[in-house]
Amino acid sequence: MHRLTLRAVLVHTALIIGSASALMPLFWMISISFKLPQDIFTMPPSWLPETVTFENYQKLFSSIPFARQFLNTLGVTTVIVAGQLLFSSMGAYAFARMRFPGREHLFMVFLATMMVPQVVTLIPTFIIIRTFGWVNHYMGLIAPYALGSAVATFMLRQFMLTIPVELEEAARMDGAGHLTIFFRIILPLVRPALAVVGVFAFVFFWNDFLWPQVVINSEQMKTLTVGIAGLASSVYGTDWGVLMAGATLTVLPLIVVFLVAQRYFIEGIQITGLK
Amino acid sequence: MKSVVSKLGLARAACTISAMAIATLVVPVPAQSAEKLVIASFYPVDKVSGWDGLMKAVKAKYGDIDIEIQVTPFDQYLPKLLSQIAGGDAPDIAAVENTPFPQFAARKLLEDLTPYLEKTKDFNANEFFPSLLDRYTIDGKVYGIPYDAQPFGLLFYNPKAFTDAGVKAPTNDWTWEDMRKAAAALTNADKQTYGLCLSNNDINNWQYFLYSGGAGYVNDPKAPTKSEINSAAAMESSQFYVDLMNKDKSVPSFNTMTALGGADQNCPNLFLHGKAAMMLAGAWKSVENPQAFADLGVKVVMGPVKDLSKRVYPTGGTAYAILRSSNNKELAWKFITEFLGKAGYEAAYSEAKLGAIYPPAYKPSFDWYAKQKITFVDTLQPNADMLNYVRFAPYTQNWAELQSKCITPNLASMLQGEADVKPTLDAMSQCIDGSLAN
Repeated sequence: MHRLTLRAVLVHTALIIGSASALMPLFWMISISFKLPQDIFTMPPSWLPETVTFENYQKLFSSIPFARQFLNTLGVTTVIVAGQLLFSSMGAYAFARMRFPGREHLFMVFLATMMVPQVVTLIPTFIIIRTFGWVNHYMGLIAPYALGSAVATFMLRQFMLTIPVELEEAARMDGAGHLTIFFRIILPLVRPALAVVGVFAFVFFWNDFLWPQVVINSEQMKTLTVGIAGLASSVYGTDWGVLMAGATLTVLPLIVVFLVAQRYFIEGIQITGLK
Repeated sequence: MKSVVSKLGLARAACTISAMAIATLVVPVPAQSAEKLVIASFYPVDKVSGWDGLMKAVKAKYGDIDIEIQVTPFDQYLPKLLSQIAGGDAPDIAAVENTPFPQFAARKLLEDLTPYLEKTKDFNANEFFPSLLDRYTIDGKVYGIPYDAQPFGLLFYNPKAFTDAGVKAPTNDWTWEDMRKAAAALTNADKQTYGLCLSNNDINNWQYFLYSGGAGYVNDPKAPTKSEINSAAAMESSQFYVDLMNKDKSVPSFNTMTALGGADQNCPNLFLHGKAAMMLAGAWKSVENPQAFADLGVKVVMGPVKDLSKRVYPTGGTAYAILRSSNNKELAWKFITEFLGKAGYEAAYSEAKLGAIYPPAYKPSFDWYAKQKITFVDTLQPNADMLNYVRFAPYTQNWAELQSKCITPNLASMLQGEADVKPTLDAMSQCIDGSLAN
């Protein structure tokens, strides 16, 4: 009993220290967002603002069209994630469950595209987007990503491979085709994987910077990462309080998404464990 | 029932996704105006005071032109521009900072503006400060029109701090020793006040002493082939700066300024809050915060040098260039003449707070501005006088990379007093020579 308690105390202490060190930058960011400029770089540093101010948040909304950029990011990311989940799961189903010549080789080629860095395809993608007239347009942000990705397809395929084939066979005996099997049997069973893929995709595309930077030109169409980057790297100096206020508001939706999707992570682990 | 509900759920999801996708598709792509000008910049040029007045003047003269401003942060500016050019979607006009200008020129991105200057009445090459236009001139051809004339090294001072301490106020004929003595007298460790601070990044602050001490980075800034960063003059200059920080303690130390977020921003904070009696900076610092400078009653003189017969001040600055890929070169040129000509500066001044605008590089505008009332500092004449002695950073395509590779890694320890000046500068020199040879 003593040994168990001691072990529990040690493990929890280590976890608390680890969590604290991970959360410290977040706490510091929020603290700075509520500080006056002269209080940001005091020595020794003060963890809490001496005078709490909302000035930085006010300046944020007047420096850049933050609300508009927030909605841009939310809308674009949501559409991309929905598209990725739909089309990647379809692709995963094809690679996991359908039999056709060259399936494995095609899957390897598809996976190999993960090795290609984004900068390599930047210009060709831009030329295609420009041809469609989608530069500085929402479609310019969505089109390159909404039809699925190799990473999402791979993750979902691996999960689908763990689903018993018997379920599918039973459905076929009842006359179900691929579409019915996919939507009514496979998709509900891969919900945890979809949640995981969805969260990763949401975080990735919420934080995406390079492509939005290249394809978007006007302030009104920018996403948050690009809009806030303008605050960070002005030639004439950085207003750290405003920057931290922007960063705080930018990271909030990601925290919400993680909290909402938490149970799906755990469910996914449980299901995998049971198998 | 369950199957109906789940069917409805799936159908609803599919409809929602389709609706979202269609909604984005039907957002109209703005039609291309017949007369459209796209201007790329690394700072929000349309938020600089005077822009609205300038737009009215341009449209009154040239008709209803659609002007689009594309602002990209400095670090991503060149990659974005190159992507746009490669993708056939390049802007017409680009703001080009002096340091990356060689890269733009080497990539042949910029239009030769010499013919335009020659044919335009009242906007000629000889009407710009020669030292500034020269930076953007290659083999006699002008590729960029300089926007501002702001050397680094104006000495801003707080008259009250001098009066209270019984120290004589700075003059244009101050040498380093005069500045050193005054800074020491104005420093109070108990009150955590300093005599002097420098408001730029670490390299540019050190560069001030390098240049004003009669030294330099290379043999020929326009066509560098050899490093001179470890010359006797460079060592003396560096040692002087190091001693100000670490021996006299009249200038905040490298570590202090780094911990406080960097000298660039923190020095003005110290100065404007009475924690530093003098500040070496560029005119832009006062233009960006004119009210605070006016409230303090700030005065300005030329930055002190080691030898008054050998004045040299570092300068930077921005130029505006027309891209070779532009289909609107004539219109772009007309806009540049308005923007950078007298009309543009008059419009900027009319909207400026306390008369604060970036001192222009176009001499007729500069002379006109010198006659206008300003109240944010006592005078900008020292800024004008310093323009006779400016020197840019060495003209190489990779000066930024060279600085990162050869100067930055060694500079901190030297400025902290942890590494001696001679071996540090010798190491920098060796590295620069190696890079220049390649």
